[in-house]
Amino acid sequence: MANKAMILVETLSIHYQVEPKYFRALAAEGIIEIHQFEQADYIDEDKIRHLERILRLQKDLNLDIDSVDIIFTLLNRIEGLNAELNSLRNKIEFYEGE
Amino acid sequence: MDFIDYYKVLGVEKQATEKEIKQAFRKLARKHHPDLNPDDKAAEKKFKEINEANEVLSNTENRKKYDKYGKDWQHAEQFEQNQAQQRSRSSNQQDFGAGGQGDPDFSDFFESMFGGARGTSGRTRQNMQFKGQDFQAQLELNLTEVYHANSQVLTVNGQKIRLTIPAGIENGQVIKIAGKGEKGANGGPSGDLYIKFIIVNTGKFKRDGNNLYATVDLDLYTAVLGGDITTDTFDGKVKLKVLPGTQNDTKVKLKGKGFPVYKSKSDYGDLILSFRIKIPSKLREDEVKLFQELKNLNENGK
Repeated sequence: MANKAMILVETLSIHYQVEPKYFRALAAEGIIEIHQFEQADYIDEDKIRHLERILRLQKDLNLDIDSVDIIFTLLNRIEGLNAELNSLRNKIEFYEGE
Repeated sequence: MDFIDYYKVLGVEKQATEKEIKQAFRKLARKHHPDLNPDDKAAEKKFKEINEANEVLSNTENRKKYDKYGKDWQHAEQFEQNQAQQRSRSSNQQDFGAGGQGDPDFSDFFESMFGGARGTSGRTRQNMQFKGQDFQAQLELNLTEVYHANSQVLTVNGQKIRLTIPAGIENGQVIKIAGKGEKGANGGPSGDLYIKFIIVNTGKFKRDGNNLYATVDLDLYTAVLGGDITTDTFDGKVKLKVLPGTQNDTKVKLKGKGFPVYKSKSDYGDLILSFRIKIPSKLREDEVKLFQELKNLNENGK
């Protein structure tokens, strides 16, 4: 806690207008992590962007938590493939110049 | 400013029910949602269009106003005044507050008719943002500039950012500068700045990861007899021993003379040199004679 910026779940709950139990449900599914200090729940500041993506996907596409989890798994795979693609593109550029 | 046909954007009839509008929006959103299409500007633009259409058509009051004044949006102001008068007579008026700042998620047409996010009801996408918006930037550098750690001062959205780019960064690599994006809402954390690096290489050294490649011209006599040559590396010249009988396209590896390994202070890749043997094309008469002698010595070149 000392070195990591954390945001109180209650603060997020007020801002996003969702019940605190929503965050606990996400944590129970292993989609986010909740840290407890002095009987209060916190979320890592670094994970806020991820949380906002979950909220947007749920609101805009009417998805349940499982579907959002599947989407993130696939997005992570796409990210890995894009990194590989970039590396291969650099290689192609290397051989094309020969 | 052009009129926007929101029904056309969502691909529904003017008489579409609330349910049909919602369905049409969700169908298009599944395809173009920016969170499902990262770094896709076209998808982002399309999603903004369908989101705006949905904000208008899924809200009874907005839809009514749009249907009545849509094509004649300049007169919407008068409509607003009438509405305001009606509202002042009723109690418990909901105040959408906020506003004031222009909302880049909406078109000018929408802003003009509905006044940005204020005009929308309930939870807008703005409420979904506690952490500030991330900024994306692109920085073009020459390969020579990323051979050493490089200090740069960037101005992103009016904000001066000093950063040290570690040596060895790759073409297309993205680095994140935490907290240098837009300020958060309601005390939320600031967004991040993502910088994509475009590394331009016009020099004679080609790069593949941490290794560098180059071709070295070698005269026929040194290739046959061997000898010492001086050749360029990325950061200076080196003396190199050429073995007698070196063939065309022979490769030599100079360990540690390649590109610096990203975020590793003392590790370097290798430099791989390929010899290209230059055959003399214009021979003097005495040279022709000597080559002829050599040929004869070797049983007609066999």
